Amino acid sequence: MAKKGDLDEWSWLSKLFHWVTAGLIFIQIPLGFYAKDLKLSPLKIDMFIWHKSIGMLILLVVIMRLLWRIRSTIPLPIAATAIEKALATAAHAVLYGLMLALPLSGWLISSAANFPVKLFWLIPLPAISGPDESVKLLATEIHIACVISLICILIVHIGAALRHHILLKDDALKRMWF
Amino acid sequence: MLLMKMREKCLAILMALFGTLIYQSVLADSWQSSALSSDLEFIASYQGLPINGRFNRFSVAANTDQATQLTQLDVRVFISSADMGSSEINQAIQTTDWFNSGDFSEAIFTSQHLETVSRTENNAEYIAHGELQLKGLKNSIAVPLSWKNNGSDQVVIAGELTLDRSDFGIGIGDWASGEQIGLAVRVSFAVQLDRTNE
Ligand code: HEM
Ligand code: HEM
Repeated sequence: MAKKGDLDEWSWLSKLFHWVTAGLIFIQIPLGFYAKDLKLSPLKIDMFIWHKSIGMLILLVVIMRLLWRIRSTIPLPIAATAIEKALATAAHAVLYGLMLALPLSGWLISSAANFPVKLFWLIPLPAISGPDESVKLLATEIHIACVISLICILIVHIGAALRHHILLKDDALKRMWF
Repeated sequence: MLLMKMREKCLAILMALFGTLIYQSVLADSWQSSALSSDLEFIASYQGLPINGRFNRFSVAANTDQATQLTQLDVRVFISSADMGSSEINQAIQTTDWFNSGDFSEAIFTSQHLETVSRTENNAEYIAHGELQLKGLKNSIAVPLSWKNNGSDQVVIAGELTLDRSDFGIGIGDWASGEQIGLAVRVSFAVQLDRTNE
């Protein structure tokens, strides 16, 4: 596990990972809703190729981010109470979990729906399941449940960051920024 | 005397004709596909990656002459039985842009010109020249096929060919370009035929 040290701020690489994933997620969520609502057309298929490509990129970045997190030293939580600290830790853990579960469930939908895809029009994504209607439906439900959870937790997450910055006027946001 | 001879001759010719007819009808055979042991598959492509599909319902009827030479082939394919392993894709391909099975429920291939490529006692290779009628459009195609005896009353015919979906208006409008969904579609079949002489 990561060592927690008396650091003023997050390491440069941790910050980069955080904001790259945040940026990709902010593209990925609207893209998912947009692509899903399009009527079947080459445009829809292109949007899903983007969605799947960006989603698998997020998976890759998150895996590297977690590996880096385990090996690096991270700052101690800024929290007034033990409950606040526990909530923040839990929310961050769930965010990491969702950033893994979303691409994995998406990958499963794509495979079970028998829809092959070349990520970024370059790399064929191997199937992790054969064509299977019930697996596809289950994976779709998991994917959507994760999307809803992610949106809810992000509202709290961003709200908490703003609370620290504006109301509490502490360094929580600054130490994650460059 | 002369008259008599003429009449006998005529009779002899008639009998000979009739005889051959009977002989032929006894020895010429008709064959019918068995649904359980037959496959008709196709491979489309998407972003250059293969997607497999199959038709679950189709029938093949064939005729052979007294020398078990293939003389006629009739194939009917029920378009609504197309299965690409995904309910979304299956629904999409039945729409008017694709197969339009509402208006064109069957594909029909008929060949009466079977070119023999090679032939031994139990095996033969043919090229079936004929017309494929698909989505209301007719195109001449040549289908290479092998014929293998599996016993005296059973044969398996098998073959592969590539069709261009644009020749049949399959995938029109926005889909007409082969960029996302390739124009070439590989079709393969292995059909068991049983002798069905009445
Ligand atoms: C405008 C949007 C965002 C803001 C302002 C923001 C802000 C922050 C801040 C200030 C921290 C540091 C907390 C600390 O120092 O204890 C943090 C951590 C974190 N953020 Fe965000 N964030 C945003 C978007 C996101 C998004 C989209 C995700 C992922 C879905 C995300 C996932 C995380 C995670 C997992 C941590 C914990 C890092 C760790 O403990 O390794 N954040 N965020
Ligand atoms: C962090 C990564 C991801 C996020 C945040 C995300 C988000 C979304 C969202 C917001 C939707 C629309 C919501 C809905 O379906 O009602 C969606 C749908 C979808 N996503 Fe993702 N996605 C991610 C990764 C992936 C990946 C990697 C794949 C495939 C390889 C994928 C495949 C799909 C598919 C196939 C749908 C349509 C599901 C349906 O028919 O309802 N997603 N995603």
